[in-house]
Amino acid sequence: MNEPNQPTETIQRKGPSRTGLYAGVAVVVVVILAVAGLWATGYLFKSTPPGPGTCPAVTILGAGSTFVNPLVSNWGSLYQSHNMINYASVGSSAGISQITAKTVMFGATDAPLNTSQRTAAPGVLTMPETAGAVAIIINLPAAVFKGSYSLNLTGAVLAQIYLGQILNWNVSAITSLNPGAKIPTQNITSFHRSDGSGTSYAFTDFLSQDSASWMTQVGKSTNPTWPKFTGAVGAKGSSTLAGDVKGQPYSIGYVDLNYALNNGISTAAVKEANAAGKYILPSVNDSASAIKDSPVAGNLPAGGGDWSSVSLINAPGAGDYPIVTFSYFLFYQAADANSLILNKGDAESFVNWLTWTITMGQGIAVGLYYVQLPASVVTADQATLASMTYGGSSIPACT
Amino acid sequence: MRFDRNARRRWMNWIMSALALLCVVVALVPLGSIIYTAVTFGGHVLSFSFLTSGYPLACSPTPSQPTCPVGGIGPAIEGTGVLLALSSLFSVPPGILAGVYLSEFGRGRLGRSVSFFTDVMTGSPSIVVGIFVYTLFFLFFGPRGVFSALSGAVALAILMIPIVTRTTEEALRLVPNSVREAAYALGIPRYRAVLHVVLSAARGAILTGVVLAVMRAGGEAAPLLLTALGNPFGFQGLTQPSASLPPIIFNFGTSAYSNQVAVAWGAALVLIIIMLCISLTVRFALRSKLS
Repeated sequence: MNEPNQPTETIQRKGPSRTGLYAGVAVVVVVILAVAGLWATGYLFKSTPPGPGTCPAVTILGAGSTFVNPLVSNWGSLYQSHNMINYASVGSSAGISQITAKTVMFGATDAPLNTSQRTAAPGVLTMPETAGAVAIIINLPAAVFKGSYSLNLTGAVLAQIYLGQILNWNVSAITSLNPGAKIPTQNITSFHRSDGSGTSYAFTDFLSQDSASWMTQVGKSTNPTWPKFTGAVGAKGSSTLAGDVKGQPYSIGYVDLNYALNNGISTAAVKEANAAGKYILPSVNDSASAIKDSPVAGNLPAGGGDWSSVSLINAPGAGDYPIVTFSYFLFYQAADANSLILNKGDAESFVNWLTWTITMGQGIAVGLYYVQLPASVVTADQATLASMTYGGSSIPACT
Repeated sequence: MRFDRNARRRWMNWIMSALALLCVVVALVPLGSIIYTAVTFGGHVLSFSFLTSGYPLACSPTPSQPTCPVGGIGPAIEGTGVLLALSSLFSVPPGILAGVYLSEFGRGRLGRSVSFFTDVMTGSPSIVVGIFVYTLFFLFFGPRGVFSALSGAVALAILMIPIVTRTTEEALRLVPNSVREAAYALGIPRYRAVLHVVLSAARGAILTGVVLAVMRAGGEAAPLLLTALGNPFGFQGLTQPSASLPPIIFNFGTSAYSNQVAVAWGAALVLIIIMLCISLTVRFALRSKLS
């Protein structure tokens, strides 16, 4: 290609040909003015508006567990103060990695930190802020159930189903638990979570405690290696799994209680872990009493301690639902270790909101089918919050 | 003999037309199905207040409160608007300039490498772009700057640039060389010929490319989960996390609470309507310009 001859540059003329240039300059000026105007009105760089009370205004940013997302979002909206709570539902493992990276003020996870996660995030406190029950959901024809009768299952039978040792509903292991029920001779489709999940953690924790072969072959994990057999199907996310069970006759699965109750899916009664051995349907009340009766509830680790062995599975009390699990908030003991907390005022407001969630916030939890924390756990949580510091000294309360 | 062949031709023509029509129908089925499903499940929540009010609280119906308030998607619409405006600001000028360079000036090693990396960028998964921007902002601004409207806009802009570049390049290549030569013959310098003659001839096609890029960015959820994050208060400033439509559809769509699931369907329908409106507006604007 020929370069254009240099002399042509000299034939530039003034006049109409410059209008394009002027128009361009005008557009740029208008854009700059518009941006400056927006800036001036504070649109591009808003600060949290002040509100009532002595707690300074701050936006509290958190991320993690999808399980607690509806609850934490409601806590953010219903908190009677001016603090803006922004919670992102990105999953428990992302919640742990983001609090480790200090990109959020608090993380939320359904499974406690393991040893390597604790080492990676020194100074992180663990505080249970709510609990959930894992419901065993089933899809069997109504003829199986007479009146209000529900299917009875035990942890050992569930382990055999998920290990692939029981492939049909009509086997003596199941019929012997359900005398009088017309159990169909149909193959079982067993759904499990294909993604990492706190629900899987609680469920496999339960199976490990009730079945030695599950403990040795699979164990408890947020993302266990599920035994592969015909009829074992993975599903991503609680809502998908609930929908799959609803749509697939003769299937079984497990979801958080709120998914089962809000979507009207039949749940199985699970055998309680005491001598009476009754079969308990999942409910908020029987799960709350399970936490209260659980030996660990009165003997929780310190906020900065090792929570990896804390388990609410198989509480010994009469009528306690056996598959219950804590969900945890994670945040730094030294509030100034987190660069999102800019000053002591931010720390005061942050602690005020956390305190509100474990006290006033608990009533909201029940209405959404989350499990209320008993007084002993709330007391332990308050001690954890009291141990927080800013600049080396404790954080004063604000209202 | 000749008569037979004509009859066979007509038959063949008829069969092929029918097959082509069938293929059109098959191609339209997914679109129709998406719109039908979104209208069926999300149509009943649509209203003006749905577009402006805040997110619905999770709510389980009780005997005393049998229906739950649906709320709206105001924060997500505001956030998506700001994010798309910012990302267009970041991506359209460099994208068009790169396209002009590739079509008019790019020769030799630099031109080839720009072209190559544009292709690489087009093919990179959006979640990888999200991780890249997350890391970039973490390195430059620290943990405080990671989750912000700015990082979300940058992530979307990175997805948009190669689309704008490629469509601009293709549009400029379609401008006949004789037009450029005519401009040179009048003694117009090369930069001015590109700016006033070639670019203005290809204006419509470039605009189409920009709209395609905006529509691609408007439907992206994955990169925003790691950058703009989300914000129930809409847009709170460039350095604060920002809401947007696609992540809300994902979050509410998988909720256990039926009022939030209804909002997810409504939000999906709104997103489809917004995209169709942008597409149709540009199409009609271009048609009137051409005639």
